[in-house]
Amino acid sequence: MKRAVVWLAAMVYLLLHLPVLVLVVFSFNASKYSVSWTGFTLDWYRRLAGRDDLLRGLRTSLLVAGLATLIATVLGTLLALALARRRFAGRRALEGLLYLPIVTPEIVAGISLLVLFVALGVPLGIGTITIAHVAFNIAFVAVVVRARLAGMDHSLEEAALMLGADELTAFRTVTVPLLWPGILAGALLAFTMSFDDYVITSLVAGTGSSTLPIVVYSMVRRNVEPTVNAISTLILVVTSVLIWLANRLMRERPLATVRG
Amino acid sequence: MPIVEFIQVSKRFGPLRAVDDVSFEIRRGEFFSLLGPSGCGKTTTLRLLAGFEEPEPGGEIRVAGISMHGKPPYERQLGMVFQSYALFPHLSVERNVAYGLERRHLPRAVIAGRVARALELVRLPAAEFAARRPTQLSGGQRQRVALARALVLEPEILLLDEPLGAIDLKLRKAMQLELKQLNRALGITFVYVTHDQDEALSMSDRIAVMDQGRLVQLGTPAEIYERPRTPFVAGFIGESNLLDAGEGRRVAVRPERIELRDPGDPAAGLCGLPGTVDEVIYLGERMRILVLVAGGTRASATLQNEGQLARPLRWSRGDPVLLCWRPEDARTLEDA
Amino acid sequence: MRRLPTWLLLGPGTLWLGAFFVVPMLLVLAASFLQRGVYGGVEPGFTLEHYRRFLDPLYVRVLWRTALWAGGATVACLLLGYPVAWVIARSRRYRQLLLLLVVLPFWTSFLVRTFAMIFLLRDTGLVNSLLLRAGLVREPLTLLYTPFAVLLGLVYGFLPFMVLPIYASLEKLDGALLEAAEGLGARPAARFFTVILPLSLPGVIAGSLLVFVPALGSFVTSDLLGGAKQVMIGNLVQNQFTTARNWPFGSAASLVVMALVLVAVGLALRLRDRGAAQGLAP
Repeated sequence: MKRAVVWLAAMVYLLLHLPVLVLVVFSFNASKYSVSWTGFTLDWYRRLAGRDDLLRGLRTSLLVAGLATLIATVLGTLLALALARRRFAGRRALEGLLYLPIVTPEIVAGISLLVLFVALGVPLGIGTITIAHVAFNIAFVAVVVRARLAGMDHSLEEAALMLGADELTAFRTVTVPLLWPGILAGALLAFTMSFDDYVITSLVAGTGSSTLPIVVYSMVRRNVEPTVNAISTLILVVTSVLIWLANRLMRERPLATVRG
Repeated sequence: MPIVEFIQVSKRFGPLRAVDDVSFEIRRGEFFSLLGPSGCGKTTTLRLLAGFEEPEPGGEIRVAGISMHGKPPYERQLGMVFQSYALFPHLSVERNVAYGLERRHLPRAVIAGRVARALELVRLPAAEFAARRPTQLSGGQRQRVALARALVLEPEILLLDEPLGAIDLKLRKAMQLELKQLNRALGITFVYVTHDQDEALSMSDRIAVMDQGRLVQLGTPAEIYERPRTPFVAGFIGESNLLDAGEGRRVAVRPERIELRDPGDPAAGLCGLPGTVDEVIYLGERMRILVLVAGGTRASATLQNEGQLARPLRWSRGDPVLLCWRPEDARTLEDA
Repeated sequence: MRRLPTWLLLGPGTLWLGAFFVVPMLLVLAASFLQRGVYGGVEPGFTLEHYRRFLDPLYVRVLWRTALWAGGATVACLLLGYPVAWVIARSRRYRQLLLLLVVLPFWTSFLVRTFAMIFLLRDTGLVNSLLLRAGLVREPLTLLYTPFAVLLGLVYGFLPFMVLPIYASLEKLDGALLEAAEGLGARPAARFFTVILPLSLPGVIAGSLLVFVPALGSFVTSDLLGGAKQVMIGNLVQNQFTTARNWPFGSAASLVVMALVLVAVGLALRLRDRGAAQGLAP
């Protein structure tokens, strides 16, 4: 019985990873249309360099993701601190509000922002994309940082206070160093989500701006050349590295010395 | 002048009265314990003194005669050892102990010297432990570091919140002795929170027993143990038998104060609650005899073990006995 | 006291969320009751026609199909994901690695993973090539642009969402409980159904929610893998705001999706609370 379960799990792992592995492998296939292997080549990668639309999309994505991550990380961390450390009215409402972006389907979030921007007469472009990304990233960063704070021994800050540190000093010398891996992990994940987002971005980008996912989306739809495989592989590698890093960070520092 | 004064201090959390109109004084240099079951308010009382909570209006806390109203913890100059030790995991032992000194911006050489001396005081040689991280230490070692960190600042008062709870029995007894010795050697006033009555009895100069937010009795260990004022105190500290003393009176008598006599023994004299031996329990140092008396109550008598192999007990299960005690060992209870 | 005031911590984030999540949703709510504008957008005039349109069998079918596929994907993810969670929870040496292998697809580009599916399933794709080469079929099978493709895509996309919560639940399971059950005469199947499954129920509920909700609002999967014919409600909404230019109807459709989502969330919370009341640890 146990053997069967392990085999089933192994199959599922295969299902999870095989399609992508295939994708990656064929990004090196010399053949353009056929799925038979005709030889190893880096041609498709070289062609990427020549595609202006991809390069522009990449630049836009980096800009938007970087800006949105910065803003969202600051705002999200502040929110997490308030939720974890302070007592205030309307706490429940805020917690609910934080889960709203997580629960809302992207399509609904996207069109609602579109309606807002049009109603206000705001021109669609990089600015609106960034605003949208910050909106869904705040909730995410707040949840991640809050989880890290929850695991933190509350008495550490109190100990610092007893040792003569005022609130700001205690925050600076105790809370932040311990929280830092969580903040960084939250930021990395926010960056990844922002970088990868298609649905919301496509709705609020307007005609002028394209992020990388938008360009790739139309490439995928036309899905002709293995160039698509190449860009997919690159995206995969970059995001995998970022996720692995975030994973390492979250496991790094112990949050409290457990008793006994 | 007392070093700490609590004057009609209360603390509410919503509808809950965690601390209810508590007043007491702590004398300079004494080992003062707050004792009671979970939820009795002892930790809240400590936190009020530390400055993490403010008392309700109308109550006042004074340290060395100065009101602590509105003063945050970092201005109160008190030392504290937390229940979870609260050692900074991202700092070494040395940096942990140095933390308070660094906040005072003392020169580095001075800090290093004081840290080394503090570690010596708690018997953690600096050479071996200074560079270690808290996660690399055992429970007992962490506790000592927490102590060193507080003591290095040479506070007048040290607050301790159940610091020995997670330590195993043998080590705990040794640490209790060490803490008591530190208290005497350094002359620092210790304010100690515990739910363990043995601990409180063995270490304290005076004990404040608390229950449901109220201060129930304040006195020396002997006063608390031998003259409990309420059934709660009598029941919480040590064991107590509630016995029928005749003429409708009920008294509390400690098991070790009960003598067993055979029925009809002429030396029994005035005492003599008849009963039947129900259980004989071997405790090594002592023997515990459970006796069923009239009305179905089970009384417990503790006798010295004279050596069951050489001089076995005179009574066994089912034997009739008389329970005897001296009048001064029986407490008529206030709320009997 | 040098302390950051609470309003400073809360203010910016809450304002941003309020302005860019709550307000837009309210606008959408309002828009769903307005008249359709000639060039897109809305025009004043209260109407319920957009909601009434959902009674049209065409749209009922879309809703039904969406719910069905989301539900089907959830069940499939449960059946496939549970064993994985189990294996990870049991493994001590490889646990971190196994977790990472599940987390990685969870985060890497949804778009890329969906394209991987296309690459496999299309007429010139890998699956068909292998089948043709092996002589099992004479013509390529139409795998892409079918309900099967969409379902497969949904399962493939959301499987990690199911595994992680179940793993979290199973990890907390006290091995001693299973030993106790075994000592009381329970065989493996009985142990599973009477001890493991009930105690892992909170994880199962959470995982199911994490699959069902995004699947309901799914857009990319059905667009890329389903083509024009496999329309889910997410595609319907997107369509109204782009080509069809019927914003009020799109708004109404969005609110229908939100309603479905909130019902699902409410049900899951109810189930979890009921479980908690019966003593199943959260």
